[in-house]
Amino acid sequence: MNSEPKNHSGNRRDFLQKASLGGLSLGAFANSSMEETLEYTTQKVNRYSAPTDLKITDLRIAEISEVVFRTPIVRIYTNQGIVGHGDVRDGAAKEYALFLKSRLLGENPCNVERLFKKIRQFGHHGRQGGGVSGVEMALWDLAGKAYNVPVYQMLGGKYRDRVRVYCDTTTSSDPQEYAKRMQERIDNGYTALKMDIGINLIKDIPGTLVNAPEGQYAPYKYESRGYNLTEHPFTRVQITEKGIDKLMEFLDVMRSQIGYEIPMGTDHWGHFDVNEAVKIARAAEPYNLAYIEDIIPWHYMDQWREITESSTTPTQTGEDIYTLEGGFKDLIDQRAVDIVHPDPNTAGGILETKRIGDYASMNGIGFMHHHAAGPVSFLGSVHSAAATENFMWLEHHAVDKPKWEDLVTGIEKPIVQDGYVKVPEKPGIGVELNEEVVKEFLVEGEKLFAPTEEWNEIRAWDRLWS
Amino acid sequence: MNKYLQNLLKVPKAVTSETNNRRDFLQKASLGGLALGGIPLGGFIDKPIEETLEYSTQKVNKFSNPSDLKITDLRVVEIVNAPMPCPVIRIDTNQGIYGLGEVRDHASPKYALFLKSRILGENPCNVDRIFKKIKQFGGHSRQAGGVCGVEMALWDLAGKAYNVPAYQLVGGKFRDRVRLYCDTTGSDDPVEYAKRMKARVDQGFTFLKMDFGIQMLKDEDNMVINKGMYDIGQQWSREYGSYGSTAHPFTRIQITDEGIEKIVDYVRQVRDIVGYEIPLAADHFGHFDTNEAIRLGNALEPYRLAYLEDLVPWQYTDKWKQITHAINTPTLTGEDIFLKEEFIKLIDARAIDMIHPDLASSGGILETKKIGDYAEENGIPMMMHFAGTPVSMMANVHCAAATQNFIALEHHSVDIPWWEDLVVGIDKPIVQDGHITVPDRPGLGIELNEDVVKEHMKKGTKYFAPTDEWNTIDSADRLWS
Repeated sequence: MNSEPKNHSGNRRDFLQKASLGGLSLGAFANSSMEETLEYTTQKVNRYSAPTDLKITDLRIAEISEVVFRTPIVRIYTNQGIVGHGDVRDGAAKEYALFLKSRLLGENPCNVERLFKKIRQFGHHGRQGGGVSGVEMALWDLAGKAYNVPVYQMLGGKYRDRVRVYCDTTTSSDPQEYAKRMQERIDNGYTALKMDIGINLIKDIPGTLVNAPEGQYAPYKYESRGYNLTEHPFTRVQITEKGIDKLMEFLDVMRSQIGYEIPMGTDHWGHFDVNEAVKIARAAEPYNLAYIEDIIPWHYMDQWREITESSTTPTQTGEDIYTLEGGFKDLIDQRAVDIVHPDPNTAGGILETKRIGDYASMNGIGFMHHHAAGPVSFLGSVHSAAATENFMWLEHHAVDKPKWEDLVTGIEKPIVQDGYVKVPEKPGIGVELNEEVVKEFLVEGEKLFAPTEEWNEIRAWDRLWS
Repeated sequence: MNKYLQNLLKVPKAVTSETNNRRDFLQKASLGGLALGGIPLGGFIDKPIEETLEYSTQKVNKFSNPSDLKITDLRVVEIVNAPMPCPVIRIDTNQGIYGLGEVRDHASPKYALFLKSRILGENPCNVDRIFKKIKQFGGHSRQAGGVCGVEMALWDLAGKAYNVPAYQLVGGKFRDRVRLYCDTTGSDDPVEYAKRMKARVDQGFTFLKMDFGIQMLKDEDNMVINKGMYDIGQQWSREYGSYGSTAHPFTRIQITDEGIEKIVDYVRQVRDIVGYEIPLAADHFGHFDTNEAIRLGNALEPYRLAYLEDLVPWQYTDKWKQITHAINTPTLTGEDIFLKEEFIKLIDARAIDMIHPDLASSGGILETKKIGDYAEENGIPMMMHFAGTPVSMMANVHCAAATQNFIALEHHSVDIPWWEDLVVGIDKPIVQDGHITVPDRPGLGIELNEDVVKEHMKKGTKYFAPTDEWNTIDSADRLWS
């Protein structure tokens, strides 16, 4: 274990310098005795663990809310006292991680890709990707701690020392008020913004929406599912010219208040089909949006390409896609969007998110991270972002939650400063949980890392082919 | 006429009185309900409306009030050694009727339990609606078992609620008896193996499948290259990186001419004894890549096998296409595929000659019919893989009856003496002359025999124990934003 835990990061630097002298510049020692060389190259090598004998012994959950969207935190235990942390995706079931326990027990957590390939089949799009992704992060955390290396270094090293953050802003149906709130974000140091502009802002203005979800014709009254669960092509909502004007008024006020220098993305436009989306994308061109996000579901790739090709407003989607092969590859190959937007807690974790970024990079497609869970996976995402060339911005969804940063310790605070996060240099992800604060925000009825014996065994045949 | 042809030409055995009642009901319903709005209405025109109504509704045994039906519970009983472990599920309702379904053999019951929170309170008659709601939780192979098991149970419920057999709810039937094919326990001695297969024919089976492959060469010299890396006798080893879990292209195993000759000689001896009139299929050749599959496939052509199954994993559409184009023995795969989309890729590419869904993995009764229908439109027949209990077997029978291009359904439990005793409410023997008569009872047409099921439960498990811990799972289910 770490001999001087209080002076952690200084030791860490020290170790790296020595390792560099020892490992890379071995020639410099050619004239020294073998014993001396060995002694020198191994001194202060702070082995936290014996990586080759490391074994996973347990997997438990602490599910929190309020301080963040409801998020199950996963902790993986080992036979050597070190633990790894990850977040199951915000809004996901803890069962998505628990299900994997029987497939992980007894495995060496340092074999991250091997374990990822073993459990990958149990993840899926949306929240179902959360179990595999959260476990993958916890495995990187463990591998980093076992070898005493920050995660980004195990992904090929870093491209940047600080990771740029973008943030959402609370919505107001008064454009002036909304612009004021955006300006406050800028005053707080943020250098990239996102806002929610959608038909819900204009629903009470007569003559703006045809077949509106809550309009007088009440189209969902007899349907099996409401507007919220109805995919965009099937709502048949249309936006009138007046409606488009009203929506553009928001963009116009926003840009005239906050100026044209800061990237300004938009999200949550509402559920309507490709024709309405094209109208919006074209009308928004004068306002130079950074992107329109999720204006239709990601899996309608031909429709996305139509929108993308119809206007010069950049398009973006991806927070619900699980793995590169699960959808990003097709989106990128077809040039269906300008920017991909994986959430590392759904996409498959740290390495898979980097794979997605690298593939986008090869094909000239922009790359940014969605994130709305706790600080553990936020920092996990920071490692992935630091190690991926074409990374742009990481979402910070808890700007207005002052206690969010208190959930973790072992990292310089504030974690987010001037719209950036410093890439941690500590082993693994670089944060530990502040259990007292975690306890404070446990979901009612949940316990802090309660035993999960009932998930030790699952009898099933896992081969997907014969 | 040989036994095989006799079996094929045999008429279904006489119906019992119970079936007669059912027929009786159908006739009455036809006169009363179905024909009422149709042409023969004129027959009732002179009668008072009371008499007409009385006649058309008599004996209509409404088991339930379908529009108010609600799912109240989902429970599991784990049957073992059937020969596979098979979790059977029961979905209960607010009206006393319940539906039976079955998770895929060798699948975890958790795959079904996970769905409980998503179906409680739903009306089970809305089968397609519920299927669309839960299908996101299925994956390929065993992971599909929960969704499929629930789907079967929903049809059982919908059938019982409306007093209609399941096949009738998915479009009606193309046949009254469903043809089976069966495996036979293997032997190193081809003469012994052939003898066992002959015994199957004598039992009445009209379609056979055998297992042969490089596993029979494991102790031979100079027949299998690179076998030193793996234990090629262990096709089902689970350990990560072992032979059993290494996909075919990555073993780099090759079969020498001598090895192929030994396999071919074995098949020749079997075929000579079994004869050339009965379809004889083959499976489980071992894990090797496309080139070896083609070499083996070409060498086997003289024996006119019905098909070669799962030569390479189903995901490799291009590899399958290459094999299918290179050999003249039909190819087949599909038992691990969930949902129609991946079947459509194989069919569109003409990558295989026949599809082979396992209804407990492919998506249940209606999805499997859709898969069969798509194959039919593209000139591809459907065999059905199956290795469960009579519960899932009956779901298969209803689907097979209702799908035109169906050829034969697997029966994997011929040697399990108590297998048919697991259920009641159906004419026994269920399997006769290599066929199953399509049941006319409501739903799937079977009920569990509790005593027999209890004799074959997994140790430490209970008969439909409460599952309250699965009543809620908190997660956002939308897969898009």
